[in-house]
Amino acid sequence: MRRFLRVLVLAAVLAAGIGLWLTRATPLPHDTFAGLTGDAARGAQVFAAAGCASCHAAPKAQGDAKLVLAGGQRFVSDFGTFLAPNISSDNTHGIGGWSLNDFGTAVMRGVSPEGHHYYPAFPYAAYAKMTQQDLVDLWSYVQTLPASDTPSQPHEIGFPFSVRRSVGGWKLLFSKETWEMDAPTPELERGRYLVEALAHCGECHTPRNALGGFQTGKWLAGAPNPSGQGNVPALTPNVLTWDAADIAYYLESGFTPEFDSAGGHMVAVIENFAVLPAQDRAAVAAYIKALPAPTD
Amino acid sequence: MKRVIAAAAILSTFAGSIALAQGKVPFPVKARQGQMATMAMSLGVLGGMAQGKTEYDAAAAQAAANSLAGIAMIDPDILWQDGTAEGTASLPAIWDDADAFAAEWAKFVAGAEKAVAEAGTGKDALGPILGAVGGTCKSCHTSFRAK
Repeated sequence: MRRFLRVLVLAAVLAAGIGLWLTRATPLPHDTFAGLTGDAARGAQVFAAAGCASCHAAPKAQGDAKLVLAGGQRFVSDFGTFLAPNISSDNTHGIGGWSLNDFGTAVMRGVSPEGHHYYPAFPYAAYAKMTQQDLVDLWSYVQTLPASDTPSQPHEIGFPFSVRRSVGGWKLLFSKETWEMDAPTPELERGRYLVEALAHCGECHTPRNALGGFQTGKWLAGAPNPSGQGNVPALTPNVLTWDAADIAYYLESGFTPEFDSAGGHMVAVIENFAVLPAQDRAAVAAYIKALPAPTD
Repeated sequence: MKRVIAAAAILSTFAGSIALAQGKVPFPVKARQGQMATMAMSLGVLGGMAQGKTEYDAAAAQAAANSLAGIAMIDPDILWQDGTAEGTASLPAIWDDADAFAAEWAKFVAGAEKAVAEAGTGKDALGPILGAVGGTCKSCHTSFRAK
């Protein structure tokens, strides 16, 4: 009996150990970006495409104030309310004291310099597919942005999601290094990179399961709005019938083919796409038109 | 007798809800939906020309701009009357934050004035007009429309 108990305890310790090991927060190797030099002007384009300011600017910031990444916007979800942190260049309250590797680890791994998991409200699962050069350029650019001494606010989430270690399990289940769709031409490849990696379109347009992972076979097939009001529309061909030029024009102007206009968070997305080159909007449109219909 | 009154009350309640379900849309709601549709169609004329889908026609562009200006002259208080949010895309913030809503409407009025002044001057004027008016659509819809 005693022996059996001993084996049981050993097995439990071993299982806990494996669990902790599997859910650990792993930074990028220290030499990940060795030999790369950042270009802030290119980084500004990455910054727009990745929509950083859309979430990290202060609530209701307009114009140049959107470049002050003071945080404070609230994101309601089924798991609680997340508050975007200050990622301005401030040394104390922002990320001014970070290294390039800290930044890369945060953006592409969802791991803080202190070795904690970030919640996936921060779309690092998409940014993980970012090129290393884009990451380095982005870092060069965000360092040029103004500092803000607004302290970051804590998230408003309950147990068990308040245990950050649980995010390690989420990453284990839902991190995916492969692309969602084949991209046989350079234009589709660029469109795929913008949609799946930088612009993280799937975060809102793909429905999720009970644990917050994407439902399989439903890529960009539309989803309930996490705010509880209405739906985020489907982009798949069973629903969206706009032609590629319509999609590109919508991303530039916010006008649908019927000249209704975008609203909600999509307005921020359009403001970002509007400053990208026309080829990028065309590439996104080509990718959207090539999407397969969802499967059951 | 009591029973008859009760039955009548139940019946009339039913009739009332059927009338609602059949689309007894209140006038202010109908009016603002029509006003938004007219706005979209007028912008569609300018947008079609700007995109090159239709040939630029100064008179038609001016007429579309004039339509926008006509809409801008409608008093928004007539369209967004108290108690007419239910079942529509109008968010409560329209009434709760009336000053901000009025400021958004004023931006649209300014955009319509720009359209009237410039739409007839040439195709190149249309892009900036659509940018100005479209900007007011987006910023207003961000705060005050539920989709």
